[in-house]
Amino acid sequence: MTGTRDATALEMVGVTRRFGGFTALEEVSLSIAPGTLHAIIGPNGAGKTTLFNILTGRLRPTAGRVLVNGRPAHQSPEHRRVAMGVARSFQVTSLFQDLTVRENVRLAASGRRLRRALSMWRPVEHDHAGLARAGEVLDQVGLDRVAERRAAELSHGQQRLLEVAMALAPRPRILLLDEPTSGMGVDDIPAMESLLARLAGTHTVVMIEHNMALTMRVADRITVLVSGRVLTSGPPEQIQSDVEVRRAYLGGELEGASDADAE
Amino acid sequence: MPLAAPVCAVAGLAIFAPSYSLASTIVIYAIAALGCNLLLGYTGLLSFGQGILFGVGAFAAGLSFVHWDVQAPAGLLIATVAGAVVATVVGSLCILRRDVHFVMLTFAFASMFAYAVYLFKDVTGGENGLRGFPAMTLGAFGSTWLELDTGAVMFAVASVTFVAAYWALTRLTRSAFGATLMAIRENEDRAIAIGYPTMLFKLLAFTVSGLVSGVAGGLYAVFLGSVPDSALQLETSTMILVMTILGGTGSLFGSFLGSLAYLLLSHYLAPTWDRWQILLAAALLAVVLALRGGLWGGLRGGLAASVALVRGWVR
Ligand SMILES: Nc1ncnc2c1ncn2[C@@H]1O[C@H](COP(=O)(O)OP(=O)(O)O)[C@@H](O)[C@H]1O
Ligand SMILES: [Mg+2]
Repeated sequence: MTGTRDATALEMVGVTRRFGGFTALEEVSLSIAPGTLHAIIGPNGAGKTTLFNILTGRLRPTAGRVLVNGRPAHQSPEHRRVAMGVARSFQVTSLFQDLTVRENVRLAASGRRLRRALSMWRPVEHDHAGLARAGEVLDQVGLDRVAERRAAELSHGQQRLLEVAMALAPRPRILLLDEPTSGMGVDDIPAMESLLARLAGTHTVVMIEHNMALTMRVADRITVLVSGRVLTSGPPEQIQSDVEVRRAYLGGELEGASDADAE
Repeated sequence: MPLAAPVCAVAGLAIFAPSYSLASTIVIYAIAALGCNLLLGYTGLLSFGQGILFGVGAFAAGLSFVHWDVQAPAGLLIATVAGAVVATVVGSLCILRRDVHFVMLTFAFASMFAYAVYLFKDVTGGENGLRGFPAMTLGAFGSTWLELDTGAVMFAVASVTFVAAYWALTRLTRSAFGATLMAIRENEDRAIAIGYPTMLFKLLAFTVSGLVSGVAGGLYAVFLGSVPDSALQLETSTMILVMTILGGTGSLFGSFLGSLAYLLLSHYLAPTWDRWQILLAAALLAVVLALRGGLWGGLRGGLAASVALVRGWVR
């Protein structure tokens, strides 16, 4: 809102990441406009999750820079990125299995308030702000009725929703969602799609997704990543019609039943 | 209410234990197991260093008795601080690695301390340990309130310390800090991803564990009137770990049950059968394989089942 500095919410400039001799990302530059839903697609092993790991500080780039709201972020450790307004969900569901659903979300909501989390004497029930936020988010994603269950007891579809709920809880400006529908059955996908559509209106969302039909419906912009390089970037209609993309990745799949997983 | 469980535990011991000496030993090791439980049960850190912290507490208290002629409370305070300091230093290095590598680091430190006892004979007394303490008294600043000359008085001091430690750890494990430790136990990577600097939390867990283990070691020195070299050996670490696992990780009362079971077994079996520990190993196997939640978990499950059964009859 303050002119040029907020012109991009999230930016990657010339990011390269190597694992030993293997180059997972090569000279990737990406810029994500605030308030948009930006999808990243590409075959397995293209480097999509690695790209998220660099955006969230889990991995350091071998070369290149990451900017959050125009400020350099690649030096700050993973746990500080939440305070910068960046939160993520995981492709492989990563919950606190033995804790309740509510506690999972409360922990996520309170993660950026270190002082409170370090309090060793006051009962955790006094974390009113965290609990209130957890209640809100559980309502929003439709998990309020299972809030007192252990996370491990949820169905896979519910666990995927909890995965996203935990990313939402700290009120990030930028949400990174790694294959939110991964492993979901067709019955569960509409709940996730409607959540994604609602989030797109209020957040900057970067989403990795294999479900093409869903991606085409919700994304404002799509970047295609192949073998660690950006193949192309553009609005969904352009990507859909891009012959090169089809050959490299989609393999003509879009012409037929396009709900199929690209895996 | 959180005081009810530990108070009942020590009252039960006072009434039923065959001797105050055994009762005191049970309570002292229960405190050490509480310290271990905070790391293992609540934070998911398997440390072989618990014996170090216990031993350092014992030696710190012992040295202050021998050289400074302090009374028991000052000795216990010194033991507590020494436990916390050593825990923080050792912990800060061990938490640089995770999983198996973490465990190996704690093991390396435990071995190092064990050898240090014999390397610095002048300080520790080597194989003889520390002896020749003045008569133990309760008091401070030159005035003495109580002679610690009977088993009952000693047991009372140990019990008060146990109840205090139990209460403090109950508060801590139910706090936001405790909740974060459990999150780290469940999934450290996710805890980092949602914003928690987990290294800091693990380090503080070590410090608190050191406070608790250190005071247990100090009590041990006060109780024995000496410090044997075995206090700082690996066997003390394993003993505390076995008690904690046997009783049930993740429940504070389990730590008491673990110490109770271990020391009762040893008390009744050791004099007649010097391979009694094989039973202990079997019990450990049974608990790990079958009784998730240890003795406490089993007891609670059994209670719940019998209540349900009785309800069924009544209906
Ligand atoms: N920590 C790592 N160490 C070594 N190789 C890795 C690591 N993370 C990812 N890779 C490799 O980098 C490539 C890209 O992986 P990833 O980013 O997970 O792909 P995608 O999410 O697009 O399927 C894969 O070949 C993978 O094996
Ligand atoms: Mg991936």
